[in-house]
Formats: sequence, structure tokens, C-alpha cells
Amino acid sequence: MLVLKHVYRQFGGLMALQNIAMHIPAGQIVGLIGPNGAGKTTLINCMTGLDHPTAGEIEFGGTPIQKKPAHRITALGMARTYQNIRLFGEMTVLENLVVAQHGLGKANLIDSLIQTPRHRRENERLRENGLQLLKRFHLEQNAAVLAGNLPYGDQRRLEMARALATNPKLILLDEPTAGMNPVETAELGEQILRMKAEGKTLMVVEHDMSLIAQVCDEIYVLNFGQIIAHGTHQEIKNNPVVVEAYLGQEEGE
Amino acid sequence: MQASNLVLKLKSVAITALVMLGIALFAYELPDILDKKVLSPEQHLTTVIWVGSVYSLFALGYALVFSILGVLNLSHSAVFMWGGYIGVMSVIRYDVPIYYTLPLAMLGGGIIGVLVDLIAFAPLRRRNAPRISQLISSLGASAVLVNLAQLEFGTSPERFPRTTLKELPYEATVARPYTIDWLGAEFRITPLQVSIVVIAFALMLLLQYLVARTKTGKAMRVVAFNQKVAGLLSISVGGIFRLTFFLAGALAGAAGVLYALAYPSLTPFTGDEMALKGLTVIVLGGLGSIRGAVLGGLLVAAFEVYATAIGYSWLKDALPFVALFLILLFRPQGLLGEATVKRA
Amino acid sequence: MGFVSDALASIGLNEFVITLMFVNAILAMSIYLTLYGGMFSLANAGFMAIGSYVSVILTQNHDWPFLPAILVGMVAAGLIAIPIGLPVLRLRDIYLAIATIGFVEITRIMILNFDKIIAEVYTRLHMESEPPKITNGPLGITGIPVETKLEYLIVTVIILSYFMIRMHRSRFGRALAAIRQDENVAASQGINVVYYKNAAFILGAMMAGLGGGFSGHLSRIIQPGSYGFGTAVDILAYSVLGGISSWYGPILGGLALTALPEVLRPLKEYTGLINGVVLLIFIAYLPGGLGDPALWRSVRKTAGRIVNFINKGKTANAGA
Repeated sequence: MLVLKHVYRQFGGLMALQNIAMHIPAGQIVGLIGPNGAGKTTLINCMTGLDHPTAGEIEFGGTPIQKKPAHRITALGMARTYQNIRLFGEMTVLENLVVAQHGLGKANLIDSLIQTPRHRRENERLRENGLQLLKRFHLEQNAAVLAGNLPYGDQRRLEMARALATNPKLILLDEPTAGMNPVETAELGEQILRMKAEGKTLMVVEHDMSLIAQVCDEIYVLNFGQIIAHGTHQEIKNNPVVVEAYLGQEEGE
Repeated sequence: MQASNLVLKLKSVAITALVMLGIALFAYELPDILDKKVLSPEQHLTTVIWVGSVYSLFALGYALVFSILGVLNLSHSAVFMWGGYIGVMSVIRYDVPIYYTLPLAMLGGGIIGVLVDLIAFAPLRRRNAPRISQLISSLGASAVLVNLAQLEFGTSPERFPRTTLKELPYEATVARPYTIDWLGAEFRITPLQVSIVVIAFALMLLLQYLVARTKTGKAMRVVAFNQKVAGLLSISVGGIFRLTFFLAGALAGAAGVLYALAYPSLTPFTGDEMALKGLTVIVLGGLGSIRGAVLGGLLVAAFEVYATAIGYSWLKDALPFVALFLILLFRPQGLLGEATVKRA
Repeated sequence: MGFVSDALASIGLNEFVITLMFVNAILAMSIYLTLYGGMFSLANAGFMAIGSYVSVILTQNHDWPFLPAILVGMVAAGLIAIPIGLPVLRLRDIYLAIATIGFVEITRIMILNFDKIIAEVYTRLHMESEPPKITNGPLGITGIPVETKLEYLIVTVIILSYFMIRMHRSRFGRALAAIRQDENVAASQGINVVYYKNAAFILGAMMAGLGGGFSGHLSRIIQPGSYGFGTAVDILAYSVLGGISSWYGPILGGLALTALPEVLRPLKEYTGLINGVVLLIFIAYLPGGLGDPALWRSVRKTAGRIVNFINKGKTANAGA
């Protein structure tokens, strides 16, 4: 589904990503782990078009996307959440989901000016989809609340709902458990597995190994901008290079 | 990492050198090529330097406030105008000796600067208003200052009385320029112009020293970097803000007096004309950069002087804005700024 | 009706002033559109100048009727917005503000020197004929008949208000709101940020051009000096004072800020000062502006309390 070949990203003199090669097979859940500052978010940004690699190729479903702008990549079927929640805080919960379906709508300004049936039907359809997603994430009672006023855990779930609203094939979750307690984390794991069962492909960027162990089919380990290991959870757990990378970081902290 | 920093530094030095070289070439070649009749290129260079030094000194206040608070204080030009009036009117109304006008205007400008902070910025900072609101608020302060000046001083142009100018050393009048021979070129410059350049550059060096070398300067830089960290280090953030506004106001006051010495036509609207020049200066140099403001001031003066010299006086007004436009599009961090500007 | 207009005129609001108030309301709406998309553009004074000059030159030099002329002025402003917006809208907040001020000033200076530029071109191309006088430099174009009528403006404001209301609830408006709140996330949700920003910028430019056309045919004379930095700031002040949390805020702001100096005419010397103070007070204490729904709620509450208080007083009196 998503293939990265020789991807580099350089900021001034800083090499943030070096010779990254990854493969996310369709229908699987791939984990990406690594210590703080390893380059995980930079990598996600390069995949989703918010940033672009300095060199290298990224193919999504056979289409090269390394130079495409973010909205094009979303249209091809990729969605993401953010490490530090980035909802549209001045919009209601439902509006967040309606605006997320932008690419699925077609109505233009003129449609809405003269209130064409197309515009009305589309608005209804988008709201209906939004409500369904809210139910799925147990947020329906908050539909009219401003997203910025939601409690933290609900905001995390709304972000996930918003990612799903674009009707993606591949979903990138950037540290979805940050700030969650073990119960919420386990529940999140269930949601992730449900998405997989529906045929979605996922990549989970995480710090916390328990979620990774629960859901991931295979794992990539990133450190200092390089992939230092790749394999199943068992293989990774016993890989001395990985252990050292994490231990080294703990000493540093 | 370190090697790359060096590369970055070399790059900015190289760009600066190129720009300077460009100015020098422009100074010596272009007028000759385009029109044999215009004044000697040496003359233009001296004009660029003394006019540019006033621009730089003025624009420094914008750069200072922007680098510490991250906001653009659009009332700076009104403080500048008030500085000019404080200088001129203290002579006309109270017979203050001309030597005292500069410190007086700096003090007055500083106080007005602090007042602007208290009235237009502090209430907005308290509720964490967006930077755009602060920009508009400073425009309101500017309107108030301009209108107060209009009520107090009227709109007809004011100037330092000719007789008082004679108190200055070497009978500093424009009619008696010195001629300096240097490398076979003749530079004609009046003592007044020399004093303006010397005062302006002395103040700019003083500011650079204050910010870069003193404890207060260090505190200012910490506040600019991160206000929370500054709080943890028990630096009074509010105090640093007021100090910043005082310094910026004092610079504006000094620039106002120097401007009034150079041009005998001070009106309440003088500031408005300078505001756009000042903005251009700091954009060219890099919004929060002190050295950038100096370079930018000289550049804007160069644009004006050479556009006039080659016979397109109307271009004089447009050129700085065209440069501003191009800089923002291709190098929004300015000529000397560092590449941290957020772009879409 | 005559009685109302007499009453308004007695406080300084004669027909000319009221017409001007509506022109400024249109200008305030024009900048609202870009602000709604999170763009801090001050370019609209430049587009206003373009709309004004194009339409006046058409009616004065080419005998066009008024309405087609101002429509062409509007379209001209929109067309010029295309090459300006594409590069400039990549910049954000203060950088965008300064760049657009640069555009406004360049436009003003170009109009000021338009005849000189044409003359220069004529001599360079060795053309025999006398170069035409078009913008007439700093003196501007004079003797323009007053064609702008209050009715036109009210109709325009109603149409634009309808446009704004619909825009808010449309896919277009939602995209702009998303861009304002977080540009990168908006892009990740599939919104073509560059397209929507430019579309809003161009539409805003067209509104400003239309406002310029109306204003050009209102004051009998147009001069490049009326379209500089100061005008850009004025337009911004209308929308900020009115408040950008609602579509009607800018209209209120445009009306109120234009009326204020006229109502205060008896205090003529102090009008500028009062304008500045009003701006300072609003931005510091009423950040939502005149159109802020919260402000109106509290006004209603206070009014209710006063009414209650009076009623209580009455019953108390009756009791006594």
C-alpha cells in the first residue's frame, strides 16, 4: 500500500531522515517506534504531504506522492491524527467531521448560493455520515459542543473519527495513546483492530509498547533518523540494537 | 551540526558582502553610465550614508520590539514624530540649548513608548490576544499620538530655528560643506551630516552592546526566547517589556531630532511617511535583526538616492516597496534574518 | 420618511454621509472575507483604487453607463488579484500584512505616475502622437458626476449579506474556516488550501473593487492619495471594530466608524483623536466588536434589568 525508498529529509544541516526504506502492506497494522526526536513525526509529515522529502521516493498504491500536496494525498486515501491534538477548536464536534469530508463533497459556492438540491442532499449526507462516526466513537451526545471544549480523551477519539471521515485506505496514528490511561489505551486498541477488520491499513506511531504489542503485525524502529530494526514484536523485543537505543535514551533523560 | 552552522553563517556573510558590493558598484558605476550630468557618484554615496543612518536608527525601534515581543509596533512612527517635536519645540518655546534636545527627545520618546505599551499592548497581552489585534491596537495608539500632536502643534511645518543651528560646532550649515579627498574621489559633506551619522551609529553600537554584552541584554534575549523560562529564572518579563519599549521610544526620539535637524519640515504626518520606510527597512534586513535594520536603512536610502539620480524621481517612492515585495516573496526572513519564518 | 432623514441630517448624517457609510460597509465586508479565511491581507485599499479608477475612466473618458463601468472595475480588481494572491498568500500574519501594504503603495504610486509611464513608453517607442492623460497624476480625475445612489448600495449590501450567510454554511465557507483555524490540518483533511485562499482573496478584491467604483462616483473627484496606507488601515478598522465573529459585524463597523466623525462634527478638532481612542477601547475591551453576539446578549440583559427596575419603581409608586 505504502512504499518508501531511500527517503531523506534534511533541515539546513540537520539530517532528520536518512535512507528510509519501509513497506506498509495492505490490510496490516504497522508500528513505528523510536525514542523522542528520532524523526517519527517528520516521517509522517513526509508521508502525508505536510512536508516533502529532500530525496527519495514514496509510493502510495502505486502512485508516487513525494511531491504531491497534502490535500491530493488525502484524496488518494490517506488520513492521519496528530501527536498534539489539532482539532478545529472553534467548530462543533459535528462540524469537525463535516469539514473533514470536504473531499467527498462536490458542491461549490454557487450551489450553496442558489440552494441547489445537490447542495442540500450533499449537506444532509455529510451530516449523516458525521453522526454515524460520532456514534461509533461514543461522541453523539457531544455533537453540538465546540471541539475545543471537549475533555481530553474525547478530543483524541474525535481526531480518530475525523481521520476516518475522509474515507481513507491508510490511516496514520501519531502517538494516539499520549495522555491516556491503561483502560482508554486498551479501548483504543479495540478501535484500531476494528478498523483493520473493516479492511483499513494502519500505521501506529507509538512510544508505549503495550499498544504496539496488542495490535501491530510488524514494527519498524527509528533512531537518529534511520531505520535500525524491522520485524515482529518478538523479534524487536529481543533485538540488542533496539534495546540499546531505548536504554541509551533512558540514561540521557 | 556545527559544520552546517558554519555553512549558514558563511552564507549570510556572503550575501551581506554581495549586497555591499552591489551597493558600491551601483554607487560608482550606474549614474555615470545612465547620465553624465548627474552629481558625482561620491556625492550620492555620502547622501546614502547620512540619510540611511537616520532610517536605520528609526527602524531599529521596530526591530527591537519585534525581536523581544514578536509584535510590530505601528505607533513607533508617531513616537518618532513626537521626538522631533520635543526637540524643535523645546528650542522654539523654551529656548533650550540645542545640545540638550537630543537627550530630552530620547527621554520623552522613551516615556511615550512605555505609555504606548501600557495602553495599547499590555491589556491585550493579559488576555493573550492574537498578534493581529496588537497590531491594530498600536495603530489606534498611533492615531491618538498623531492627533494629539496636531492639536498641540498645528499642521504647518516646524523646524529648528536657523540661529540655534549656529550653536553647533563648526557652524554646521548646509551651505558650507567640507570636501574630503579620499582615494582620488571627492566627498562633500557638511558637519551637520557628519554629526548625524556619528550620533546615529554611536546609538546603534550602544544598543548592540546593550543587547549582546550586558546582563540586561541577556535577560532581554531570554524573554525573547521563551517567556516562561524567563519567569523561572526570576526575570521580570513585564519589566523587560517596558524597558524594550523605553529603548525603542528613545531611539525613535533620537531619530526624530536628527530628522528635524536634516529636514526643515516637521509636521504631525512626518511619522506616517517614515512608517512605511521603516517597515521596508526592517523587512529588507530581517524583521527582528538589529544588524539587518542597519543594512536595510542604507539600502532604502540607496534606492531613493539612485532612483532620483538616474532621473526617475517617481521611482524613488516605488522602488523600496518593490524591493520589499520581492524580499518577502523570495527571502521572507530578510537579508540577514535566519530562516525560521513559517510559511504555508 | 422625510422626517427620518431630517432627524438624521440634524445629527450630521445627510444623504451623502449615509451613502458613504454604506460604501464603507461594502469595503468592510470585502476584508471580512479574507479575515474569515485567516488571511491578514491589507490589499483591499489597492483593489478599491483599481475599481475606482477603472470605472471612472470608463464613464468619464469612454462614456460608459455607470453600472457596466463599475462591474468592469470590479472584474478588473479581481483579475489583478490573481497574480498578486498566488505568491503573496504563501505568507502569514505580519508578513502578509506588510507585503499587502507594499502592494497598496505600489498600486498608489503606479496610478500617481501612470501618465508619466505612458509618456516614457511613447518616447522610447518614438511615437509621434501626444501621450494621453489618463489618471492625471496627483491632481486626480475631477468633475465626476455623482452616480452612486443610496438604493444601489442598500441592494448591494443586501446581496452581499445573503452571500455571506450562505457562504458560512457552504462547503466553501467551511473550508475557509478550517484554513483559518489550522492550515496544515485543513490540507490533511483534503482541502486545497491554495485554491480556497486565492478564491477568497479574489472575491474580496472584487468586493473592494465594487466599493471603489461606488466611492469613485460619489465624491466628484478621485486622487491617488485617497488609496494609500491610511485607507488600508481604515478598512481594517471598520471590520475589526464591527467584529469578525459574525458577518454583520463588519457592516456595523463600516456604518458606525463612518458616521462617528460626522456625528461628532461639533467637536471637529477632536474627531481624529476620538476615532483613535474608540479603536483602542474596542480592541482592548470589546475584542468581539460591535457585532459580537455576546455583546448584544449582555446589552439585552442590561436593558431588561433597566426595564425591570423602572417597572419596579412604577409598582412601588402605585403601591404608595
